[in-house]
Amino acid sequence: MTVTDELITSESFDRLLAEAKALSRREEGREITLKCEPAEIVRLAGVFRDDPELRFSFLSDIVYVDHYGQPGNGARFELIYRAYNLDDYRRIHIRVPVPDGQSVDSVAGIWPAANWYEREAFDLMGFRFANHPDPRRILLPSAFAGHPLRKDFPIGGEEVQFSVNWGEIEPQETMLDQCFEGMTWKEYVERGDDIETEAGASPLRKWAEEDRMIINMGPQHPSTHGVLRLALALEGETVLDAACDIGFLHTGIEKSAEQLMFQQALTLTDRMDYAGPLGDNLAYVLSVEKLLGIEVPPRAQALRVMLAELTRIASHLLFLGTHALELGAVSVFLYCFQDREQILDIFELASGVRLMTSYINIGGLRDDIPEGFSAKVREFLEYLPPKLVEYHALLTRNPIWLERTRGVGVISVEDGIRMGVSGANIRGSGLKWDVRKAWPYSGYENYDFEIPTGSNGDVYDRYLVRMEEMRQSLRIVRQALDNLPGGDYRISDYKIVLPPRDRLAVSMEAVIHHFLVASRGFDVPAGDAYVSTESARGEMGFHVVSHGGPKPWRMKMRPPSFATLQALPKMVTGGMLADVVATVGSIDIILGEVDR
Amino acid sequence: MPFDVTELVIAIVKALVVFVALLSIVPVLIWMERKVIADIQIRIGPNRAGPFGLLQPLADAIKLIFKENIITQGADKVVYFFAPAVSMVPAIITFAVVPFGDTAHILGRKVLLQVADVNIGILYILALSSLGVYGIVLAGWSSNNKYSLLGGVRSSAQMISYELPLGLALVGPVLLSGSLSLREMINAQGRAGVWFIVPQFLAFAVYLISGFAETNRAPFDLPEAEQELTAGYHTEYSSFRFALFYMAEYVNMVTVGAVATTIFLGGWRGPFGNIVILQPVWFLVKLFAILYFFIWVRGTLPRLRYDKLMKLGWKVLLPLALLNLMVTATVKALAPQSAIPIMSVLSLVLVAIGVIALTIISARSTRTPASGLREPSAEGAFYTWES
Amino acid sequence: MLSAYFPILVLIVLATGFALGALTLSHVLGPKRPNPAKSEPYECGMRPIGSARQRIPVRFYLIAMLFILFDIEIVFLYPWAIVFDHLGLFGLVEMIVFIAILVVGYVYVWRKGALEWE
Repeated sequence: MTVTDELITSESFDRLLAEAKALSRREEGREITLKCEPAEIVRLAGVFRDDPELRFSFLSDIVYVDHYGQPGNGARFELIYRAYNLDDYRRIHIRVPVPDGQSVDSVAGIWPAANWYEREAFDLMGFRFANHPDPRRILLPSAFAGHPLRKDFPIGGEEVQFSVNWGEIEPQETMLDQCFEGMTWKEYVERGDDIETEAGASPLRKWAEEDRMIINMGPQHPSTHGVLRLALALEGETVLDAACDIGFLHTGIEKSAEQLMFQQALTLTDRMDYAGPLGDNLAYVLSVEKLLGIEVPPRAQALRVMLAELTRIASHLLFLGTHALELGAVSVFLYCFQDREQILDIFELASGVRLMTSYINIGGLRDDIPEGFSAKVREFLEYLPPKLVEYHALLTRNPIWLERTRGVGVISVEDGIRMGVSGANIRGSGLKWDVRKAWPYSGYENYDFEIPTGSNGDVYDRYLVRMEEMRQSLRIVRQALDNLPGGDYRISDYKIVLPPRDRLAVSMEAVIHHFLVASRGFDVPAGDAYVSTESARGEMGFHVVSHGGPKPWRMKMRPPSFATLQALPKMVTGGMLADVVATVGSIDIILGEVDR
Repeated sequence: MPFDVTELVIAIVKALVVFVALLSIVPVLIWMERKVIADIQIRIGPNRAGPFGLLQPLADAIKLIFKENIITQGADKVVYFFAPAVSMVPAIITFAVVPFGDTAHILGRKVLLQVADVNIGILYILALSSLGVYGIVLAGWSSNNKYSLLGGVRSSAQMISYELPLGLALVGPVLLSGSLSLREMINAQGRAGVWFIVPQFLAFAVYLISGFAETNRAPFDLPEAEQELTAGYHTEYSSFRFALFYMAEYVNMVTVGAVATTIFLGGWRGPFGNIVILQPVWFLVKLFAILYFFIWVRGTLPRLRYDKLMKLGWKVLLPLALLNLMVTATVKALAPQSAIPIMSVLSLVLVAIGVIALTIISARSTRTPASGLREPSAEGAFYTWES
Repeated sequence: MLSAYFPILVLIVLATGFALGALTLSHVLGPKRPNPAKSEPYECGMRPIGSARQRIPVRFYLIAMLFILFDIEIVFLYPWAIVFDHLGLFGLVEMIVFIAILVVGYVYVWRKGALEWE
């Protein structure tokens, strides 16, 4: 890893470029970290994207951190741009210290994916981006005042009035009432957002002026996968333009995480991607472990892989079911849910919980797998393949299915990269990029599996890729099960994990450890870490920042659905209304993850 | 016109019987649909209200009567109020010309088991079945809701488009029987000794597919495609107004099935068909077989897209119906006596060709799905990897 | 023969009576508690942008026109089909000419792209 502590100057720039180019995929050091002035970022980004030897064409995320009150940092804020070269899998982290009040040039012209990332940074932390194409809030209502992820934003809480009579509860001014400019929360709800200026509507204003029909699809719509709002400009059945409006499910998870200890924040990750919670657990835990510098035992690694792949299958089954439902094949929906139940049974057997398991913990797993677990998984390995054959028979060659999915919702590899699309969605377009192969984690390099790719980038290819991924996941699960190592299921550092229950009765030291870990947590060394994982939806990771202490200073998630959703208007424009439904289903977004 | 009190009473009684029967078939059909779909989807389906959940539709209807009638702000109140009735009435009265039995002798009088033996029965059906679309369009337009409007427009275009192949498909059987009266057509099938589904299989197929579209049933349920248009034209309807739309859809389904039964499946004919009491039974058996098919299709197929739907109607079904008509007419003109056997043979050939063609098409319709993936191997649909 | 239609009239009265009766009954029985939010047109929980009664693409009218043209032709086919036995070969030739004209129009419409939805 190259780290340049000094800010880039014109002299150091050439040296830095040479150094960056020298890093090749054969060497271990594929990570580049550098620091630059806010004014330099556009020039730097342009060079790093366009230089034929660098080609950092994929902007993964923009992390924004508020180092409020922390000594040793010159500027209060920091932006970290993370971009990838998807040919040799080099990664670059550009760190930009931003003093309070200073605006930063927008890189949306270089990486279009930055559009939403920068809007989010503005919305939640108040960054000002000069020359941004669409400088509006994205997650919070447009009338919201303040930027809640700033460290000096007050954390509210209202007194709970206990009474048996509704009339005795006095209306109080709450935190929420201060969050809207010139009005209380209730007034805001009654007034509603100003439609014309509200997020999502305004890119369509020109169509409204042309007297086209503007129709709201969502948030209360049967097929927007939760509470996505799509504003569509229609001409008859044809979609002229589309705009996404998100944030209806924003629950401030990243802010909440800052108030919790590292091991407590884990439970929040379950609630993001609620269709594949164990994948989120894993991504978060890996980042924290990287900060802690710990390596989990092989048994834990194998079990994590197994659980992550089962999660992927469960998520893909959910995808298949809802996707088929939205195209009118209702029966497949119920079949898939039945299959998914089998996986949830396995999760329940292991953790006692069906959905929000929080089973993968910092340092390993929460518990060892119970007796009968392996048999149950093997049973499932036998159970699913015939079902998949059945779904292929029902859908893959069905003429109506083909007509509805082929050539619909097309996105090219180039557009996908520009918009930050990852996972099965970009693989459907033909890019053979899978984090499990590109930057293996948890020992994925030891498993034998293939990455299916499509070639047309349409709904049908994304469907086929996911169908095949389920089969590849079954392969991985089988390998993990066959070669399941013995040994411990977690590390034995009792300053981080709770000591075994039976030790508490005999060892004073164990009691102290237990007390400390449970009540105070454990200190995590200052620094920041990011580990990419391949969740069911794409590249997922947590950028965890610590300033020492038991609580994360900042936990910035890279939700794959967020970036994918950004590309949705491009996919649906020019298609028909029914194609919107097919496309939204095919990109498999989870709004819990988008909105956080 | 001689005024005969007995005739009057018989007419009223027959109308009442058919009316009540239709309105009782609807809940049975709804129940059956829910049960069959539940079975297809490995669920239980309604099982709380009454034995086997049989009373569930009734419970729903009672509940709906006591619900609030919400009138959308900006709705055209008069049209909005009457639209469900406009949709319901034609649905019911279309059934009037469908015979459900031959002649019964009651109190020394001959009573036709049919509300009205109109000599232009088929035209009557065609005329009335297109009236139902008014209810839907007016509902969609008057609701002041974009989803309703889109649903209404969709369905009007869809229904009139499929009216053409539907009408054309029925000319073939008319040619063979030489009458527009449904009763006469059943008799013709009796004389021929074969149901018209055999010599007119193509017409039957076109009619049935158009029937799916006419009744807004899956896979042609676009006007109310829940996943696209929330609830389509009846998005804004609540309470019993909604129930009327819902019932009209099922009554229409019954009518389409009854007409298919009459024209293509020999109506009330069947073994021991001369026993009058058995005739309505045979009629119902055939009717429910067709309705079961409707439900089965709904549980199996995905929904078509709008442009494909219009394409299917205008570019596939219409020429097919025309072709069927021309072939039937030619055969009839050249060999008036043996038209039905010749057409039967042609139908069989057609079915054979169709089966072979479908097999070939479905085998070729999968493109190489993804790079690195080969076609499904012979033993299963799994993709195998090229090394 | 008009007497044959009398039962239909009875059925019309019954059906209309039922439909209107049910509408009125539910109107009487159902609660009436309107409020602004409830009576807002449903557009997925958002306030609608613009009017719902907008112009509809001309394509739909085109389909309606085509329908009327073809439907009338089909209506002509029915009386022909009934008397076909009496007309014999002449009827066939005659109708082939008629349908040929129809097909020419159909092909024209198809080639002109009036049946396309792109």
